Amino acid sequence: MNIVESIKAMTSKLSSAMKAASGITDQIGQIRAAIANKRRELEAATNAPLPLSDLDARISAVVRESAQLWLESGFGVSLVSGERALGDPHLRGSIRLPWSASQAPPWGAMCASDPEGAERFLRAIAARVPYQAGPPAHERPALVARLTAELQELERADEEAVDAAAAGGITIEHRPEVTARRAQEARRHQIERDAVLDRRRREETLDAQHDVRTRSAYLADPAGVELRRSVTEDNA
Amino acid sequence: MAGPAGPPTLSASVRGLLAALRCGDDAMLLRARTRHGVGERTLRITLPPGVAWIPGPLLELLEEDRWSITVPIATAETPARVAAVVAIIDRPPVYLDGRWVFDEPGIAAALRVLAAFLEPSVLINAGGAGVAVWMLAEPISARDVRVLQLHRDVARVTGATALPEGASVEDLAVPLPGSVVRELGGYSGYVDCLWLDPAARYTVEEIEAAIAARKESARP
Repeated sequence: MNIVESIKAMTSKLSSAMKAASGITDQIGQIRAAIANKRRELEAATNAPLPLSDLDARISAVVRESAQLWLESGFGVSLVSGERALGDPHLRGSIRLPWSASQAPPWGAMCASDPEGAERFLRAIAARVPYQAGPPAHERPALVARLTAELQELERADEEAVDAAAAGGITIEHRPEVTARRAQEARRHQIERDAVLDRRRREETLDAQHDVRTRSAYLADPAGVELRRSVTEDNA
Repeated sequence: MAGPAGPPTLSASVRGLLAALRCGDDAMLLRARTRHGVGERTLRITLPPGVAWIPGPLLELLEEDRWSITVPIATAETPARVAAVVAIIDRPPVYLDGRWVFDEPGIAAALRVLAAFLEPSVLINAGGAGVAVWMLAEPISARDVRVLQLHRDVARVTGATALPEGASVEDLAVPLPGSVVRELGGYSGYVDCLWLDPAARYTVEEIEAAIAARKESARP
């Protein structure tokens, strides 16, 4: 093979490698786009406001609670009881309401006066507010579980694809959370390795100390040498 | 007898003894006292199935080099199961010419008797006391009357020291290798494991048979 053919062959290989690199980069790009979409879906399924169909029960509840709160508070009582109230048996002059002629009555008073009207009022406003509703509450747990599983699958595929590319000599950055998790795992493994080494070193130090002090004790006393030797040799 | 080639290292003997006396996932209670009994600690340790390391708190006590540590074979606090039969030979040292003198040949001879009776799983020299441990193939209840009976029978046929009348199974404890020997006046020695063979395990029936054989051979 002459030099020109060699260069052609190398160029051809390089071209194939670049196509492969481009292919895997595209593939990972698609996976990451899918991950971003899936995260948006999951975010909506988890945190988006409930649809209007789910609001009825809550509207009824808030109207009931507001009415009760107002009726049981001093304001409710002061409407009928006390000096110049509606129920004052010794009324002199004009009636005095808990609100003035130029003030709007409190929301609690409205709810106590006309619960259905108050509910209609809230419902009508909610229907006119522009907002992006998520799925109904009863559908959310299953939906969130499914989307979470799908997201994990995509994230795993992305991580594996990046690792495979790296094994093939193509360096692509992992997603930031993968990089952070791997760094944390590496730190944890290092700490575990250090702990193992530390324990081994401490045990070896103890072994050496014990060997010296027991051996020296035995050597200082011929009977002690006999004790250790006789028992171990007899058994062995 | 096939067994370990020589005395185990300290760490191997501590790990081996703990692993041998471990009853399933039950926590073990180790008692530690300073040499003169002033300080006292109880270590509650739970061991994994394969004891790869000396547990950290125990390692620290051994490093402090002032604790006498024993491993009771059963305690009231732990589920009452017993994994071993223990024989203790007691040869207290005498104070002679300004130093403590041990009857080491006597201890060696007594340990040989114990070893000849039935190959022990563990043999320990704790200063004035030699301790032999025969691991049970399966732990038995601490309330099982056979536990103390086996201990007394083994002591009778081997010349070991039996627990006094009224003692309970909780009084049977194995000195931990590497810890110091306690209550011996001026003596400062260390507990040393001479023999460790975790594979040597016996059923209660095998130990009873060995006792019976010993009684038979001792008959005139």
